[in-house]
Amino acid sequence: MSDRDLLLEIGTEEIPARFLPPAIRQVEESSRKLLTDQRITFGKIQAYATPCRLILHIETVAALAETHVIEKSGPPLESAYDASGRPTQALAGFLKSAGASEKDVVEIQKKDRKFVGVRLTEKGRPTAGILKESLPVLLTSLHFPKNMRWRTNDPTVFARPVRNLLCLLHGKPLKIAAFGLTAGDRTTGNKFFHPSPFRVTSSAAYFLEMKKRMVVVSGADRRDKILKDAARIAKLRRLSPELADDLVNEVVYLTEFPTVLLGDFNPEFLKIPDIVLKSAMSHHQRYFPVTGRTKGIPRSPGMDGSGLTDAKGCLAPHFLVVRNGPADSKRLVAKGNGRVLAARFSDAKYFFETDRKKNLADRIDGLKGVVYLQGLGTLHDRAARVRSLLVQLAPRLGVDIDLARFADVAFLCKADLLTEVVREFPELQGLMGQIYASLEGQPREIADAIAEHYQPKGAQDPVPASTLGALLALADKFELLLGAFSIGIRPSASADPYGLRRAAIGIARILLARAWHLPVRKFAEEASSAFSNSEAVRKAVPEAMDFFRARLEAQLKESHPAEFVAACLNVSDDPCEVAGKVAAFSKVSAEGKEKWVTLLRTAKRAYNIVKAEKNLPALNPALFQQDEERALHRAILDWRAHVQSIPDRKYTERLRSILQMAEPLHRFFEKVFVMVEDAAVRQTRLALIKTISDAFRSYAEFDRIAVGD
Amino acid sequence: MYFQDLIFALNSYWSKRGCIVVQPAGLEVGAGTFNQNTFLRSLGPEPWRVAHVEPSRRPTDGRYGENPNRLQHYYQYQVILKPAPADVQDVYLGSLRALGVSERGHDIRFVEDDWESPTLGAWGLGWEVWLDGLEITQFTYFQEVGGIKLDPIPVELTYGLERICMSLQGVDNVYDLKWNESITYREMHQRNEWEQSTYNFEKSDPQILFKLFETFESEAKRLIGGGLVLPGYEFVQKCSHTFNLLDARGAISVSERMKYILRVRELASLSAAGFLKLREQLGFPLCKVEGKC
Repeated sequence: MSDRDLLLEIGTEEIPARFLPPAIRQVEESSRKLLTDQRITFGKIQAYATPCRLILHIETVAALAETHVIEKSGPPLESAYDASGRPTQALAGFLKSAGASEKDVVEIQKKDRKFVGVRLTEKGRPTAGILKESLPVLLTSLHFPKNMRWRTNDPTVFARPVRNLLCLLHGKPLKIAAFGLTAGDRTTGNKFFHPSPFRVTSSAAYFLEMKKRMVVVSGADRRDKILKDAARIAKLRRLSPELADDLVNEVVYLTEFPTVLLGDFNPEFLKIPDIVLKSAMSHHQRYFPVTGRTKGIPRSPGMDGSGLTDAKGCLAPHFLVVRNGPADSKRLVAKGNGRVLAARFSDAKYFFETDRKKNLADRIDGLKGVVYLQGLGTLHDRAARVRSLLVQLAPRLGVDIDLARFADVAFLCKADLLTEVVREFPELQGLMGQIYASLEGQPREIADAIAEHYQPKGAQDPVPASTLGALLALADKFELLLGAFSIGIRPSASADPYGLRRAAIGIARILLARAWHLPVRKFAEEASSAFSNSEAVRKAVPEAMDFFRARLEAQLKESHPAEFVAACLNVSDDPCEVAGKVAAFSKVSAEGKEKWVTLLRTAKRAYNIVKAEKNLPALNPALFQQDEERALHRAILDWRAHVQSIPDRKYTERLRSILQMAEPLHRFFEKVFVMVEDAAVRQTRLALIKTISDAFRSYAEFDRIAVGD
Repeated sequence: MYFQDLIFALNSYWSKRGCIVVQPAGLEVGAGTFNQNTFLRSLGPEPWRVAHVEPSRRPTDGRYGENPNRLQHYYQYQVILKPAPADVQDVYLGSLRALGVSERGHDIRFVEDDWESPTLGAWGLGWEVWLDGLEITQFTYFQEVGGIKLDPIPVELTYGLERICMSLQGVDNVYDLKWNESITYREMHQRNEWEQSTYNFEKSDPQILFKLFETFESEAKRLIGGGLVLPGYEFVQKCSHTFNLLDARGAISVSERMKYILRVRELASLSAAGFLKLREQLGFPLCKVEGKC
């Protein structure tokens, strides 16, 4: 079968793994757009990437662009022909310029006027010619997070140098030119094992030849191979590998021909806490840790991170490393990697033992030597502010906690930043503090709070499990947010180096998870007194809290309709109240559509009538004219009495009771004409409506919810 | 392979590939990048190929001779190829083969590394080269040096000689390296590590170092301003090393640290601009030698 495909391979020096998945999408999208714009028909588009190549494969690409008709309009019909029906000068001139003759002329209707014109059929150009012009533009406009130049006198940039281009259209080389190279039909296989260039004769042959030359083109296939290899080794040795998704993804794009190997380390190193070993393995060396069912050596209490590691098994003195090449027959690679790991572990052991010589509490003074953010003093100053916020928060939230005993955890939780292990493994901040604190015999509450105060670290990370941890996390995040805003730091759409977005979401998640009712803006204003630049903080509160509100809104929208969130967001400073009402909306609106729609309509109508009214007199029932007025008034009085019996925070019940008011109000609108001439009567009716409207709006802004007529 | 044979092999390999093989600068530097053969010669249109050992000092890395992998004084092997040849990765792999590293028996990786030197106002993109998980070389395409954009682009290869040699000799402790058949790295360097660590961390006199920093800084400015760029740049290097000593002594607070870095960076920029001007006045003589650019 003849090759109808387009195959393009950009051969590069090693592109960073994290650049590749987005690059695949870019290549697919931009080539799809190119062919569509050029009216070239095509079948399936698929791009692939390895560290050393970006590959585009498009099936069944047409040899010619599609024929297409273009319409050109000429003079108005009435001036195109003379009285005797012969073409005028104007028409003749138009035909000449369009390269058409009289028989091509058609009438074209534009609005209410007729013109003459021609339709010309433009034959599609050969695909090869089009691609020669447009593929180089596509290639040079691919963008990466970081780009570099490599050629003299050539401003072109790419993630890393491009060294080879292969391009086949329908099995024939297509000589596109880019990056100072001309594409041909040659490429190389695995850099170390098959470095000699070879000819590719078709797209099908490319994939076969690559496989033979130790390049697994598809990332999905490399992933499969890694997972299968790992499972096979693990089964053989009765171990279970910890194959974290993000690390697997990274390794997939670090290799062209992945082979998983098992390496070993001295069990003596298991005396170092698991999290340190795991960090050294996965963060620094991209190895996968493995656990076994049997205990390696007895561990001292607290060494496993106080229950933070999974209970499935103990860390085993082995690791899985993925090499870029075939099996390691002489075990040189596994042994070499083992030696590197041993060096890292020796360092870690030294750091850990050094750290253990000094208590966390004795490090607190050292926080005075670490500058926090310009204008916000040292880390010690920051810790003092966190402590003061913690002390304010506990009574506000009604949390009964022994502050005299626990408040200094605000200092202790930052002390591990001065330890050697955290300096080497910054990702272990908090977790090391927890381990050191429990080894030092600190109460469990304190040790756990140290680790938990950084939580939630991301969308998947849980909120702090302990009460003290949750309080400390809140205090820490409020301090961060208010402090940063007070000195002009704002997160942008693309960059948030201080984690302000995460802090705001963290505050919302913790308050909601704990059902802690806190008027956040009010609290933020009070909290400003903890800062030495309190005036600047006070001024920054509105913006900081708007930022917080936007995060809360986004958080709630994940599980509720946007308009419910919009209706409830502005009626309370307490995120729990907002969330409670939004949830009530979702629930009650589903309980009966007709009643719900009536409520929305009447609430909106009531608000629209009274929103511009000012200085309405107090309601005077003596001025009622119609039964419907009296009925409505009675309904309001009954309803008020009922509402008073419902606890404030029973949001669903309160909403259901509001729903009961919709019907009487609706009947009132049906029968009573509000805007009568008699001012006293009119104002009485308006005052009645306003009483209800205000009652509705103290719950939520119902008018923000769209409702059909 | 003995430590000194490693150096001979690299000298011979790079000499055959058109590099001039020179001797180290004889100044205290944190890395070969500070050597004028890299820092200054990367600038401008002239081609340049050089290879040499650079004894490098990182006072904060001292461990009193007790850590098997960390040293405050160690040896880099520095190569600059300008412009970077199209087959530079192959040529580099060839140098590993010349050291007896079989690329098929081992696992060699080019792992993303974005290099930046705040004190030199320089940055580049490239990789750490890993040999079975061990970082043995930094491989960088310089993009900017002394705040000046580069064209042509030079490539810098910086080999960590101790690490490569440990892997070749199969030893886990740097002090067990054999320099030749009879002398170990321990004999040559362990006492020095202890003494220098003691000086760097405990006995250096911050007042004197601060004074030296000021003196070196003003000398650098005076000389570069007066058109003596090369001696001026030597004072820049002294300034940078003095800053490193102050840093190791813990004499510079975190907030002041950046200010000192920026002071050195300004001197580096002055040197770079001065050197480029000098070469321009000379008519970029190496362009004529090579008959291009």
